[in-house]
Amino acid sequence: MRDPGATIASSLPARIARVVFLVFVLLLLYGPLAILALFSFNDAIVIALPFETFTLEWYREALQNTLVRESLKNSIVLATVVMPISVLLGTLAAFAVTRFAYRMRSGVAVLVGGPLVVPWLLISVGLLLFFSRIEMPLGFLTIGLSHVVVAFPLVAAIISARLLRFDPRQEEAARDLGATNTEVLRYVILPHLAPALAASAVLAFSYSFNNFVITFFTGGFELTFPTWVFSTLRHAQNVPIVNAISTLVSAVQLGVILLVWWLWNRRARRHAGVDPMEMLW
Amino acid sequence: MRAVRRTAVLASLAVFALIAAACGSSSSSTTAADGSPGPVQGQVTLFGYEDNFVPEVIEPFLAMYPDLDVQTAVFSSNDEAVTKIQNGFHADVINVCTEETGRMIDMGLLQPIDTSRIEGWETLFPALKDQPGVTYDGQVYMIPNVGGTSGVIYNPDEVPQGIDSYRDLFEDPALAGKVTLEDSAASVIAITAMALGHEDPFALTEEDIAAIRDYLIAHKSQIRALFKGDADFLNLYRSGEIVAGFGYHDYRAAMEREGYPVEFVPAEGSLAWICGVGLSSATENLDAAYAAMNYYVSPTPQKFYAESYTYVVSDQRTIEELDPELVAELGLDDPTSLDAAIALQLPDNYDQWLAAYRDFKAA
Amino acid sequence: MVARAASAPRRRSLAGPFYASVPTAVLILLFIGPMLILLYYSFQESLFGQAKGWTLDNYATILTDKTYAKVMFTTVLICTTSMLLMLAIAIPLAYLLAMRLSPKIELLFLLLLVLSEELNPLIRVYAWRTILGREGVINFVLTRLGIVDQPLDILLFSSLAVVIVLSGTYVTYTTIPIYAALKAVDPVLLEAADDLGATFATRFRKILLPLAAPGIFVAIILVYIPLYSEFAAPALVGGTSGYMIGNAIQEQILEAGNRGVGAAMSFMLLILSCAIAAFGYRLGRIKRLQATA
Repeated sequence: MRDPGATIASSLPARIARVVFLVFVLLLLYGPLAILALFSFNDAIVIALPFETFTLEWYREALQNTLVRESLKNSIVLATVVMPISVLLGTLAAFAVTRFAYRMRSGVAVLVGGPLVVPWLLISVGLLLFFSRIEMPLGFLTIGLSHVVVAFPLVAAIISARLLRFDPRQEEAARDLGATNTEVLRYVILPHLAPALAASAVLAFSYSFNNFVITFFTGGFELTFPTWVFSTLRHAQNVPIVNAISTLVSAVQLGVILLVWWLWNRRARRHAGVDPMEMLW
Repeated sequence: MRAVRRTAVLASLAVFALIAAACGSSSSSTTAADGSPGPVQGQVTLFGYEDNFVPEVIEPFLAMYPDLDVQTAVFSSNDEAVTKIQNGFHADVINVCTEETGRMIDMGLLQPIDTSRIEGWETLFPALKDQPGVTYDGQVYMIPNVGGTSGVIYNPDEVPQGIDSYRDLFEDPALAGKVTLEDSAASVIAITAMALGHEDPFALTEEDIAAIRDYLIAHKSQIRALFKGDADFLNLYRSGEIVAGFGYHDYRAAMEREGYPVEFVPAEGSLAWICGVGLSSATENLDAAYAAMNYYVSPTPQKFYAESYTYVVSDQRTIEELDPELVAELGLDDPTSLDAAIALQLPDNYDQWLAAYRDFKAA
Repeated sequence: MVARAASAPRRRSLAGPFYASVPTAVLILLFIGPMLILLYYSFQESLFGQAKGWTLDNYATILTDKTYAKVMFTTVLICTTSMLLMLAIAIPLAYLLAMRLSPKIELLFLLLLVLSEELNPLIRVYAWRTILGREGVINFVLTRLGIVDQPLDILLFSSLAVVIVLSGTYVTYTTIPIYAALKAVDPVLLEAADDLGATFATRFRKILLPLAAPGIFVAIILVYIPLYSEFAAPALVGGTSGYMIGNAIQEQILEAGNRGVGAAMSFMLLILSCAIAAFGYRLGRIKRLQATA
């Protein structure tokens, strides 16, 4: 796919406006994070101006804290398990709602949209009541199931948005050329879904990793990272440690993202002239 | 002769069987058949604030009972904890505060505590022991271990004329838009009640509450923000958003340690929060549960709380272990100072309090 | 050639239900089940957690209470303003991402967009306070440049602050679906319009917006509806103007132990959400795009 920007002429003011707008969006998204990162080096327990003196104390304390390590480990493992299950269920649901016609379709669509529109507090209390009714012990399993229930509709929504506008001509062409259903799925549909799949995978991981409300109410005696954060923030003197570890977690994720981007670009350069977005399979 | 021997054998077998049954009957409960405490073993589950489970606090307990399987879960607010338990979560020993014991007892979530099994019961400060929320209908439902008082905190640099009354917070035009109150129906309604002259802020009629609500709405513009927790308060104070407000004594200590200018006055009356341990109504392993409760009201964790967070401690024995300066800072050298404090508790007409507070926030 | 609406290839009629089976089963068990329990509670009188008997009191209380009506009005105002603001940012952003940026930058920006969701709301709020506060960054710049004499109080602890923080929080979820929808569109369409002399405004209104419509619909479901349940931002940066219906629900369930009223409020919110979704569905003309048998 060639770069469309090259065809429709962009005047200089338009280009400048574009850059300014993008910078504004980045500030909106990352401004707070940048400020918090700055204050994680501040030798004070309150996140407020002015900046006092520089210190690495908080990072040291955070990394030595056993509860931090334990909770991070639990949350990462949990999110890693929840993510593929949510993506799978969400993709199945998206297919079911957009690609076929059958009587129950609207019902399925409404059902899948359900967890997106009910407040999390209600879903959490409902799930807790449900688990205690069926006498299921609260633990990683109940948390995992709860996360999947709220995460996969999000995946379904994103994939559906992509599928609704899917041009059937490529698919029909493949079929005309004799491709089986599996081949069509693998070589035509999934590649087109790839960016949406990637985005929803990251969002599903994030939903699970950062979730406090649902994790608190459906969990038992295991400590997850958001639970640790919320309960620790009760004391003012813990704020900088929480800030330090959160900044570290964000930095790691940013690093991973940049690494992924750089690898993709290298692969694209090797297949010169190909749009990296098309390389996503 | 043979008949007697047969009877004797049968009798001894019967006694043997009874003893075997008595010993093997309890699975999770290790209380012996006559109710006296047994060995501490099995599992105990604890549900509390995060500071209950930091290494300095939990490790000594784990070392005392190496055979005990201790499971812990944390919460970040009392309300969440009660809601979770109400809806099906069970933990043997719960970190409770006088604010919600009433609610929990009404819902049947707590069982009475046998104070003869609590070693520290006798050495607790009477001022903390006798507060409402600890005892209901003559039975003890909570053993206090820490507490705190409250009042008006203000910045003497910004408010040189000083403040000595909750009324000033509401009516002094110099403080307009620079005041903070706690985001809690209990404390806001109670201090307004005291500002308007009520002796007992928790004994309010419907008319009283309506008057308080109208007063609050009329003076809403004085208030910049409603804070939740000490980190929030400190942030508002430090960033200059507020110069005065309702706050707890440990906020004053924390800010002094950071070098901020701060003054603390009890104003018309000091509301006290008192927290401690409660026993869930579904607990079966009572020996382990009492062991945990005894530990949490003993001097070891209390010393940590006093030194780290400047909480007021409940056990008089802890005083001996603390630095005298800290004791003076906490006001513990004069225990009668706690008598004047009014415990944050649940009034009977709490739903009216909530409605009034909601109207205030929505106005 | 006019792009046809996507039509489903002929399939065995069982394929749809087959794909739907597992997700549906999971939802019936783990979503409908809990919701039914809560529905039950909403019809039981629940004062401090004691279920008493079948009653419509909970619903009646909510509908007749003037305070709730007022709160609902404020909530609708704040949520709708935030949504419009976010759409104003998300639509151009999605357009740029899908159609105008070089693929490398597009990918990077997309990843950055998705990553920004990571931050914990409690400490994020302290950052917003240093930006919007009386002695914060914006006021510092404004007073130094002489644009205002006194710091603007209204930037923080006001409804405006709530709108700003909500927009910053949810703009990712608004952009992603619109981006996903636009990505599937052939840019040839826009070029053709440009060649035929259409102005940017016409291209935008007649081609871009309708093509983005399904994405906007999904964005409304993902963002506008959950905005109504928001409680953290109003409580932390709303000051005394920060009381929305989400806070009321929190209060009923957590502080009052009043599951009945809390659940009843949520179900009424759910009905409202369905109405919004139906409206969005109509607006997005989704039906035309879906498979026809």
